[in-house]
Amino acid sequence: MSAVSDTAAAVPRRTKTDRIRRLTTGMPVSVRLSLVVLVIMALVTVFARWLIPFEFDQMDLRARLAPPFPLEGFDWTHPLGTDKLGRDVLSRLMIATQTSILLALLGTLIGAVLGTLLGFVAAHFRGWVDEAISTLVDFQAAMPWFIIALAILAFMGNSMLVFLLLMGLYGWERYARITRGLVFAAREQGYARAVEALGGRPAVIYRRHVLPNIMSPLIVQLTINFPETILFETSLSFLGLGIRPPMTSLGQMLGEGRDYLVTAWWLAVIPGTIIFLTTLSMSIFGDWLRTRFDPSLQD
Amino acid sequence: MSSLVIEKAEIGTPRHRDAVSSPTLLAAENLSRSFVYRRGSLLRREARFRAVDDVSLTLREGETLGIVGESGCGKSTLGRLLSGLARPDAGSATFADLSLSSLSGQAWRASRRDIQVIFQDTAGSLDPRLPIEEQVREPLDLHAIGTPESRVQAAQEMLDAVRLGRHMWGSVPGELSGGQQQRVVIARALILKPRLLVCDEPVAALDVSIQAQIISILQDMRSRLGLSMIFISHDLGIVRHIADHVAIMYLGQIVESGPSETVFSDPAHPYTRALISAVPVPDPKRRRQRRLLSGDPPSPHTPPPGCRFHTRCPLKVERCTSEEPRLTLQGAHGVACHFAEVAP
Amino acid sequence: MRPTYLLWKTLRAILTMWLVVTFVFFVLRLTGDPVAQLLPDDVDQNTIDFYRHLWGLDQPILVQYWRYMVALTQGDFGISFRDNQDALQLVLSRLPKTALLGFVSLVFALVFGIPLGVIAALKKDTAVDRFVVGFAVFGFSLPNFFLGILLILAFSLHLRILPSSGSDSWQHLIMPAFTLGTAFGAQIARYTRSAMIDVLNKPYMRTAESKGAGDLLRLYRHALPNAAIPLITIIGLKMGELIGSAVITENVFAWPGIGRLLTFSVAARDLAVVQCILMIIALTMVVSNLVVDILYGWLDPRIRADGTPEAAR
Repeated sequence: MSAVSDTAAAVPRRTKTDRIRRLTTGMPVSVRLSLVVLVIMALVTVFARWLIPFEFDQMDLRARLAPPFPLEGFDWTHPLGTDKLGRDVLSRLMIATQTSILLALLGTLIGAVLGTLLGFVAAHFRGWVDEAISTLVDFQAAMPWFIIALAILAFMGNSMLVFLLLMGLYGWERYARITRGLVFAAREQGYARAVEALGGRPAVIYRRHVLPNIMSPLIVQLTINFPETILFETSLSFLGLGIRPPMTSLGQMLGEGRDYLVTAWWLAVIPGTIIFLTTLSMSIFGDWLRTRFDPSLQD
Repeated sequence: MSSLVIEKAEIGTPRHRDAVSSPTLLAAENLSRSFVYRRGSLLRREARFRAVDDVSLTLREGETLGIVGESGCGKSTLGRLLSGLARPDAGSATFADLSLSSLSGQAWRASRRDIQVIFQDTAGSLDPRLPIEEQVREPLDLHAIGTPESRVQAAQEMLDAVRLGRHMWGSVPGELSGGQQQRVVIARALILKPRLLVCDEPVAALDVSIQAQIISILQDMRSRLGLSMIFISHDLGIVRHIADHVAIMYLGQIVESGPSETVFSDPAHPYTRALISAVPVPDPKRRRQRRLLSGDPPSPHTPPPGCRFHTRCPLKVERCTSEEPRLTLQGAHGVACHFAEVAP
Repeated sequence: MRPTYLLWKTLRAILTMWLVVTFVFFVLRLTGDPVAQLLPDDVDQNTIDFYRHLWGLDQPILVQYWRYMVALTQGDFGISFRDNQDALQLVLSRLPKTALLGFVSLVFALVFGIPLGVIAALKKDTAVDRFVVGFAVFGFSLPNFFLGILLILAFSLHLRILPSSGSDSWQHLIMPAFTLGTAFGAQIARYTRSAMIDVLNKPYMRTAESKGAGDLLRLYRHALPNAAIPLITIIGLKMGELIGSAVITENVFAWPGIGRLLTFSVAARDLAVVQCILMIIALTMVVSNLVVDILYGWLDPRIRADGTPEAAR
């Protein structure tokens, strides 16, 4: 019988393009659109410095509060208009997008790495180490972190490092929880024990076997965490506490534009729309990934 | 006693040969291991049971030892103790000159080059994500043996040796059948050229036709590499076929041991006899009297006093319920039964 | 439910509160001298020393901490640096506004979130379901500060039918409550949907169906009570998010609750008030988590003494 299956199971070696093709088949339109938005955001983030028509802080007091494209009185020099100081909104928007995305990315990654690492440590050492980390996880989950971050930022003043750290600590406990559970389960699985019996060190087993096998749920968590981190950053910047002038971020732009709702509503609506589109696209894409990779959701 | 003369064993004939000269590879003395089955608390004592209770045995270089017993009799635990994957609570296992129970860290990992294990759960013991060629190569990576190129070559030779076609080398385990997966596991275990291979129910999960194929591959590799083997199974037919020596286990203890030929043709312990008589014989003329065991084995948590088998034994007398029989040797043949001498 | 479970959870809640208080106390004091930042630049050293002494800031930090903790146990939260009012009194005077906003938003979120989730689960994989799921993702992704601004643009500036700030009448409540309730309701719809789908697939639901129980009966007698367990958990655990959103919403609509007081107080570096607000928020979260734990232990007997479900071990 195995002679039969030997010939039948002529599985070709899979290539990268095959994998991508398998991934994209049956992808709904909404997910495709989300991917397009995310790719545009990524491109803007990477190339903002070269794409901007003006320096983002270049003032032109003669052309203040110019309206954007479809509105009466707009001018192609400033397709998205200008703000209260005559600064080009399009340029500011690109730099703000870059700042917000980079910050959210870094913050998410710090949280993911920290949480995953602590999850591994808890599952590996067990005993009191596990207890200590689990307690820390519970505390973090029970703390009003956004509010505490707000207070710390207000008192610490304008410190990028503190802001990044606060973002990094936001949500780490969920990675720790997921990783701990998965590593516990994976260690009970034969393959981790089998590699141990082959003479593999724990570090090798974790890096080469366990981590790749628990990657999917972690990536799904990443896609859930990322829009939340964007909202974390933009909310604080909106309140004037995160990114502050002369720097700019999407939340900071929106907070500034809020004072001109009567005379120049687009100053708030344009950055707000970008924030919304980014979080929406990431959520849609994340949902789709989750239903694809979480076997418990497939029936 | 048997030695290893490298020779391809013919399928179907026991390989038992006489030779007293080959050295001892593995010696276990009074191994015991117990497990907690109920946690203790302030109000309650912790409850333990002995999965392996005072077991001694030896394995000579090149020999294959079969360990037989019903499920739950402690044979898997014994296998883990003998291969150094678990530590005994009492007693010792000595492999070549290494005391397996005292190895730690680096030395323990180094000992894995010489002792390899094949588990029953094949699918589970392979990484579901890595191509099989990489997994077979992995032990060489882990022990930093040879150059990267020589490792690839060795892995491919090994896959050839277990008769896995080239077209499958890039597959992940999920794309293979159970038998193919088991061959990957065998290749991975043997690429280190170990001296001892412990197989824990290596074919129990497979179809009968595939079982034969795996067994033949194991026999083939055994003679190629000069392996010593411990073969754990509940299947008497397979053990008889592959093992030079057998040990019969009941509730954590060895009740009978000896050369396979002797034990199978002239079983002395009533439990062994019952097991053997339960094996279906295809020849109607050789129909034997079947002595079926009544009832299930008692819970290993609370083994009966005296002879552990007395609750199911057809020969039970008063003495069996109070006095525990010791394993007594007659030549190479050992039996733990008060009636061993008088048994027909 | 074992008494040890309850005791353990309560101890943990108290421990969490203590940790939050301590963490906030030290972190906020690491950031520099509030007196120097509070007083005008041109005051002389004597005045600064006077205030430092008055507020106990001239003591070593551990002494300050000890005094603070002792005062806390007597219900003394300190005095607002800004206007010498009792910090707790000040915070409590704003609490009703926030409670009102939070309560109305929560009711709004539940009233449209739960039915939407139930309908989506019953009509799984139809257009209705897709609409609800889409709406949920939409509502969750729409930042509440942006939604608030859009509402102000539409209803206050364009249509001129609702006031954009303040809290004088019930009309003032509409937009903040809608803003706060939308994101929360969207999440509730989503969790209700998945909890219901879970329950509807359970064998006992099929048994009820085979016994000939009608649709409505099955829904009320079997499905809803069972779906309620995970739902209550989620709502309890999301309290922190709701409070965070409330702070922003209050700022957008100049709603004079605790959130607005918080942003004012952090800007003024009013330590006592900020600490008091943080503690009240932390207390709300810890208590709602505790209530969830207790409800959970009470509804689901498969909880061990240490509070972890068997399956998670």
